[in-house]
Amino acid sequence: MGDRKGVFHKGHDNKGKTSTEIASNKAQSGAEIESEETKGETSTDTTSDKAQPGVKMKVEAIKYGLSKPTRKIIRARTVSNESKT
Amino acid sequence: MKVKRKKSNRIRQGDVYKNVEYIEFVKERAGDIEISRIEFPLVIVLTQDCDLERDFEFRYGRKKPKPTTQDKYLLSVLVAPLYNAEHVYLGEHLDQLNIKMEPINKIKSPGENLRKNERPRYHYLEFPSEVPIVPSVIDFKHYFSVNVEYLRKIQKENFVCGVSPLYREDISLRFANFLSRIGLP
Repeated sequence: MGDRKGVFHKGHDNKGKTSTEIASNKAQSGAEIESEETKGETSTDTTSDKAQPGVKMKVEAIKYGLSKPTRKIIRARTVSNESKT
Repeated sequence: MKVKRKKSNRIRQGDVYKNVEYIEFVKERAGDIEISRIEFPLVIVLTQDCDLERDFEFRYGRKKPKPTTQDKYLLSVLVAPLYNAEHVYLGEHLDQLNIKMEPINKIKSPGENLRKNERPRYHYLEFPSEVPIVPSVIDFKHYFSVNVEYLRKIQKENFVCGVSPLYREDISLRFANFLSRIGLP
């Protein structure tokens, strides 16, 4: 992966991350990525390979619905009245 | 398929929301509580739009005189999950819940029938290019309910798009047909 400069609306720090990791950030935040410059990088989920340096363009870095449903178990203990007093 | 990307002030039938939680069960034993919840990446609202509208008017409406009862309040909103079509073909869309589903051959008749919406259980959706959702499948068998206040709370943050009326009516009709189907011997 080459260097990739981009402007992220929601302030993710993507320094040193792969495009997959960047995409993952977007999936979580829902933020759109607006790329100002792309340097000859090929990526499966961006259109950056067609981008011209210095040309402002919007790329859809990821699509929703790539992930699968997940289960989380939360365990907690109730506080009894006795322990409060 | 046509969609709206503008957020409405209320929940609408055909709205697609991301990251919606479903409480699977709550156990309480000797003061220890265990809550199991499933997070669905995408769901679509199936509750009738007029019911959602009346609920909104009764809860938050500014019309005067204010309703004196809560007669039109909904207890929950009916939704169904949207699964990534590619995961559905492989039967792996619920593998993180330890549920193995039947694979559907993408390139042969089963896959084609799915995409033509000829399988009553499923509704295949392709979104326009401006909507960042992969081709997806609604599984009507996996419908569930979400608390109204909870959905309202996440509405602004988690709204993705709303399916336009013609297409949402098609989804609604197919869902109703699926629920009311009769299995003849």
